[in-house]
Amino acid sequence: MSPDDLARCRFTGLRLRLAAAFFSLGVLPLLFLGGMLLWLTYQIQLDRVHDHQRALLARMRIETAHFLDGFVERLRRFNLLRDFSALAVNEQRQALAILLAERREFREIALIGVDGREHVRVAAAQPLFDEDLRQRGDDAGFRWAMERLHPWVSHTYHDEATGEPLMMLMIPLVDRRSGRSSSVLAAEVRLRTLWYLMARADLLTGESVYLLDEEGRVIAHANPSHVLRGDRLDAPTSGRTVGLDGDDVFRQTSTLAFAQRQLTLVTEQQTGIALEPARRALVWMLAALLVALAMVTLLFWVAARRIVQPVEDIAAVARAVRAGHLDARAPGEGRRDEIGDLAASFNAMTAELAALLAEKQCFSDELAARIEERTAQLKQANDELESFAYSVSHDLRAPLRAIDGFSRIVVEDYGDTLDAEGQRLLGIVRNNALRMQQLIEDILHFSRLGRTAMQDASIDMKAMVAEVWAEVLASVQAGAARRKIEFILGDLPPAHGDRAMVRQIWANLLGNAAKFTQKREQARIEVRGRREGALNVYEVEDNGAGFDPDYADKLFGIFQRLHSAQEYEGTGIGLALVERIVTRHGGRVWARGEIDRGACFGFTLPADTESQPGGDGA
Amino acid sequence: MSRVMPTWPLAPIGSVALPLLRWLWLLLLLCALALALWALREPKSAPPVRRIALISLTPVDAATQEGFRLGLRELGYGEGEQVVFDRAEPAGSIKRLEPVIREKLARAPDLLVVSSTPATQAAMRLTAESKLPVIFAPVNDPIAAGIVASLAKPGGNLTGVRLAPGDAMRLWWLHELAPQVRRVLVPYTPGDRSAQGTLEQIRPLAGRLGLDLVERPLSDAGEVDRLVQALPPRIDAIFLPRDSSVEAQIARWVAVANARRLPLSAPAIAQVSAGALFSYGFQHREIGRQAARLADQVLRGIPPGDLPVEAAENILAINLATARSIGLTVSDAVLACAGFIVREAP
Repeated sequence: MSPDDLARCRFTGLRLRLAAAFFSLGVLPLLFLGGMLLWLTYQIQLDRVHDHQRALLARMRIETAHFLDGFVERLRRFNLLRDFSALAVNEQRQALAILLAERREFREIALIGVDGREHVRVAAAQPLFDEDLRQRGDDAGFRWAMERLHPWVSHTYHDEATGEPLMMLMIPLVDRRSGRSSSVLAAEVRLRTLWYLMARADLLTGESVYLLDEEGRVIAHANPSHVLRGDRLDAPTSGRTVGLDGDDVFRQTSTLAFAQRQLTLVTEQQTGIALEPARRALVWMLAALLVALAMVTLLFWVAARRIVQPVEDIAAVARAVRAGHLDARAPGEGRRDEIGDLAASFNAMTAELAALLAEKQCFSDELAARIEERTAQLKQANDELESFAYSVSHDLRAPLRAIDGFSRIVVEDYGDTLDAEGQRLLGIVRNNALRMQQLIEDILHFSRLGRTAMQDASIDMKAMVAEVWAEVLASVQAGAARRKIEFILGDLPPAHGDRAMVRQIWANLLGNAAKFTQKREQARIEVRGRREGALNVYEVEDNGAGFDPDYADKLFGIFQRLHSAQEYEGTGIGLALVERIVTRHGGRVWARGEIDRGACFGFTLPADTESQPGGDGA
Repeated sequence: MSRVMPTWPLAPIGSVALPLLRWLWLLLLLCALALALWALREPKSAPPVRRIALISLTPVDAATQEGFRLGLRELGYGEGEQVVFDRAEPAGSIKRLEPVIREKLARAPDLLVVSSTPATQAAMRLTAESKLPVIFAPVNDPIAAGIVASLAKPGGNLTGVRLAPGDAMRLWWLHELAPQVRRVLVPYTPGDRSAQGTLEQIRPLAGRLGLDLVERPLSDAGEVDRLVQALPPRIDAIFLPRDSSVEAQIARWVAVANARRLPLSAPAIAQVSAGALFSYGFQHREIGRQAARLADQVLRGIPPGDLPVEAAENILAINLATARSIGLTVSDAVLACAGFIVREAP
C-alpha cells in the first residue's frame, strides 16, 4: 500500500489502533457488565418465577384440599347428632334432598346399608323412586369404605351429556358404639366448581394452574375446554418444558392426596412473559451500549481530530516534501503539545533542508558551469592541437617528398660518383624519409579519423570479417613463402556503426594477428563474438608472439610498439586506430596475452537493436 | 503560525464529504437510541376498561342483567373501573332487536351479553363476521335454536347459560308439597314447543307419582276464560307448563287457584312472587351471576367457543302466604330445600 493509499484510507494505522483502543475501553467493559447483568436478571427472574409458583401451588393446594374435603365433611355431618342410618327412610331422603338443594356440587346421593343395598337415593335433576334403588354391594368403593372405615374416592369420569368430570365419594357412617360402619353414603360430585377455583386463582399474566387426576387427565382448568377435550399430561415434569397449550413454559407440580387418590396440581408460566424483565434488561443494555457507542464515537472523533488528523497532516506534508514540495509546512505548529513540537521541528528541519538543497544546487550549478567552460577550453586546445598536427603532417610531406625525391635523383644521377658508403648512407636517408612519410600518413589518418563524420549502418559482421580476412590472407600469401594459417570464424552478432571504420578495426586486428603469427608453423586465428546486454563483444585470438601483459596498457597508445620494427614491421598506429574507432562508437577495447603464448584482442560495439538476440555467436 | 492548508492533494480533511457521513452516522445512532427508548417505554400497568353491552328483549331480563352486574362485582370487576356497562331499554319486539344490537356494536364493546333466544339469534347474525364474544343468558335450548352445535364445546363466538329441564322435578315437588293431590290440571297451548316439552317430561312421571294429568289445550284467550270459570271436576292442583301464552295469564291462574284453594305450580320464580304456590326453575338473577362467571373467563382471554354452555340451576321457590291462604302446611324438610321463599302476601 502506497502512502497515498494510506492517506486515502482513513481507518488504517494510527486511526485504526486509536479506534480499537477507544472501542475496547468504552464498549467491551459495558458488554461484559451487560452480560453479567443479563445473566443475573435471568437468574433472579427464574427464582422469582419459582417462588411465585411454589407459593401459588401451596395456596391452591390448600384451597383445593379445602374444597374437596368439604364434600367429605359435609357428608360426615349426617352422623353428628344421631345415627343417620337409624333414621326413617323418609327423614333420610329429606336430609339428603336438603343437601342437594344446598350444595349444587352433589348430583346424586345414596345411602347404602351394610347389606349393600341402597336404602335411599336422591338426585338433583330427576325424581327417583324405590324401584330405582340398586344393589351396590359389589362396588369396590363400598367394600373399601365398609372395611377400612375411610372415605373412598373413585377415579374421575365424565358426564356423557355435558362432558363435566364427576367423582364418586363413598363415606362410611361409623356407629360410635360398635365402631363399625353402619352404612355408606355414596355421593356423585360435580368437579365443575374446581374450574372456577382455578379461574379465580390470583394468576399473573401468562400463568395457569390446573389439576390432574391420577391418570393424568385435566379435571380442572380455567379454560374448561382442556377438561372437556380430555387433555392429559402423563408424568408432568417440573422445570422448563412445553406447556399444556403448546407454549414454552416454566412448570411446577405438587401432589395432593384426596382420600386414597393422588391428584396433581400443576402451574405453568409462559417463559416469554416470565422473562420479560430479562428482555427489558437486554433492551436497556443495548440502549446503554448504543449510548456508549455514540459517546465513544464522539470521543474518538475528537481524539482523531486532535491527534490523528494532525499526525496525518504532518505525514502528508512529509510526503509532499519527499516529492519535492519543499515549501510545504506542517500545520499545528502553534499547539503547545508534542504535536506542536513535532510540527515545529519538522518545519524547521524542512526549512533547513530547503536551505541546504538550495546551497547544494548553487554549488553544483557553479561546478557545471566551470566544467563546461573547461571542457570548451580543452576542446579548443585539442582541436588546435589536432589541426596543428594535421597541418604539420601535411606541411611536412612536401619537404619530405623533396628529400626523398632529391635523394633518389642523387642515387640515380650521381650514383656512379658515389662510393658504396655514400650510396648506403643515401639509402638510409631514403628509407628514413619513406618511414617518416609513412608515419606522417598514419598521423594524418589518425587525425582524420577523429574528424570524419560517422555513417551509421547495420553491419553483417561475419560477412565483413570473412571479406577482410580474405584480403589479409591474400596480402600475407603474396609476400613471403606460403603460410599455413588455421582461421576459425565463429558466429558474430551483427553490429551497427560506420561500415568503413569497423572494417578498419577488423583489418587492423586480423592484420596484426596474421603478422604476429608469422613465426608459427601452425598458426591459428580465431574470431568470435557474443551479445552481452546492449553490447556486442568481439574477440580475435591468435597463438602468435603475444606480449608482456605488464605493458598491455601501452598497446593502444599511438606509435607504441612492444616489438622492434625489424622483427615485425609496422608503425604502431594500428591498435591506436582501433581504440579510437571503438571509442567513437561508444565501445571499449582490451587485450590480454603473454609473451610467446598468443594474444587476444577484444572490443565492444553497441548491439544492432534491429537484430535478433538469436544471432549471438558462440 | 497559522495552519497552512497544503495545495497538493491530501486526505480531504476539511472537505464536505466525510463530515456528512459522520453526521449521518450520528443521526443513525440517535435514531437507534430513540428506537430503544420507544421499545423501553413503560407498558400501561392498568388493564383497559372493558365495555360490556347488555341487550334484552323483555323487562323480565332486567333481573338477569342486575344479577350479571352483581356477579361481576363479586368477581372483582368494579363498574366504571374495570368494566363499563352499555345498557338500554328492552327492545320490546323481535323486530327492534337488530337495530338495538347494531347501535351497541357501533360503540365497539368488548363483550355482548344477550338475554332470550331471539336476541341471541340476532346477536349471532350480527357478530358472525366480527367474532365479538357473545354470552347468552339465558337461551332455553341453544341447540334446537341453532345457536351452538354442542353444549360441551360451542365453538364460534357464543356461549352462555341454557335453561335446564326441571318440570319433572317440579311435578315431584308438587307431590312432596301436597301428597294428597291426585288430579292435576295442565292447561297448555297446542303448538307451543315449550309446553310440549313440559308435557313430555311430566307424563311418564305422573303415573309413578300416582297423579292424573288433566291436560287442557287452550287455543285462545277466550278458552282460558271458559276454563277458569268452569274447571274440570275434582281438580286438586293446577300445573302451568312452560308456555308463554298460559304464563301470560298468571294473575287469572293465581286468582282461580286461590279461590278454589288449589296448589298452583308455575314455571318461573316471578310467578311465585305473583301468588303461585311454588315453582321449580331458574332465577333470573342467578342466571345473570352464572353468566358473569363465564364473562370473567372470556375477559381473561378464554375463547367463548371453549366454554361449555352451562345449565341454569333450578331452585325451589315457595310462597308461604299462598300456602297459608289455601290451607296447606309446608313441611320443614321441604322448606329447607327451598332457595326462594315468599313469606308475606304482596
